[in-house]
Amino acid sequence: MSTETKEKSNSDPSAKKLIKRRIFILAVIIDIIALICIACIFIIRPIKSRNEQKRLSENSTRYAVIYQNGREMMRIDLDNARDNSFVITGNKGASNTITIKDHDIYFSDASCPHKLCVKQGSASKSHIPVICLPNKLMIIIENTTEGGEYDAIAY
Amino acid sequence: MQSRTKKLAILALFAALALGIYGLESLIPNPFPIPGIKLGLANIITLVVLRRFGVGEAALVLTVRILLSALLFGNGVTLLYSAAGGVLCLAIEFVINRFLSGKAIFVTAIFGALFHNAGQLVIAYFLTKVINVIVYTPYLGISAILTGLFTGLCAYYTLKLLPRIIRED
Repeated sequence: MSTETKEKSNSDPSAKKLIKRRIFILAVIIDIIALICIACIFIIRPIKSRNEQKRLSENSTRYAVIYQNGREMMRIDLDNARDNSFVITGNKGASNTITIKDHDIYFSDASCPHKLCVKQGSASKSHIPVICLPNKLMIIIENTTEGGEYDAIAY
Repeated sequence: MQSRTKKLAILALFAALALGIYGLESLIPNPFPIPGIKLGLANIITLVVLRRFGVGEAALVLTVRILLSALLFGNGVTLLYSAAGGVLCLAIEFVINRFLSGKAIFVTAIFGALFHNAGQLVIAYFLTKVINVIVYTPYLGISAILTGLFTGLCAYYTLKLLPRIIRED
């Protein structure tokens, strides 16, 4: 099928032109998607740092909220939390170690081979929530003054 | 009759190749802190089969690859992810390939990669029930465009260098 149409478009110059125009249209669509993506990345970043500054100026309480399977399972007051670490087990024996240190929270170990959640670093420094997909865990930083709105999608 | 046997052999060869590529790729560690970013090299095979044979054959190779890869390297969750991504990817590649009459295969590949990531995001949302996975969208979009371009060029040269015995009926 594809070879037939290829030959047809090669022999007919107007068909070739049409294909070229279609390629151009699709390329423009791809460029627009790329620009939107880059714009979104640059919008997410300042919103996070603005929220951070707001928190510092208003002296609000900062909570680390741990979700499992989309349900809130733990809420930790980061400003008053002592350093410790604990293990959360879940789906099919998957387990993650969460560590709290210097009012910061992060995954310190995971049972999965890729350990993407460990690589994502601390939840307070990252501008997106830290997520572990195998165990369906998520850590989000929330500020009480913002009525529990998620930082990253607050706009 | 002879050409049917040949087609079967070639498709089996492509399915084995796709599985091998997928397995090798899963050994490459993800350097980014965002889940879902990968080269998608197995898509090269899907594109080549789609161009050389058609959408039915491509779907067949894709199904075999997804089922066997879930059996060998993954579990039920990875099966869901790759099935959703793979089906959406093949569907859009079929449409775009028709639209362009088989020209500019890298454009087809980019759209395939974009829809693959979109499918995985949707599955991630349904599995975690957390709308925040949406913040990964721009990162996954950029990565899909870059990796789609790469796999598209790979598919272009693969099709060009395909041995005569596979290229002809």
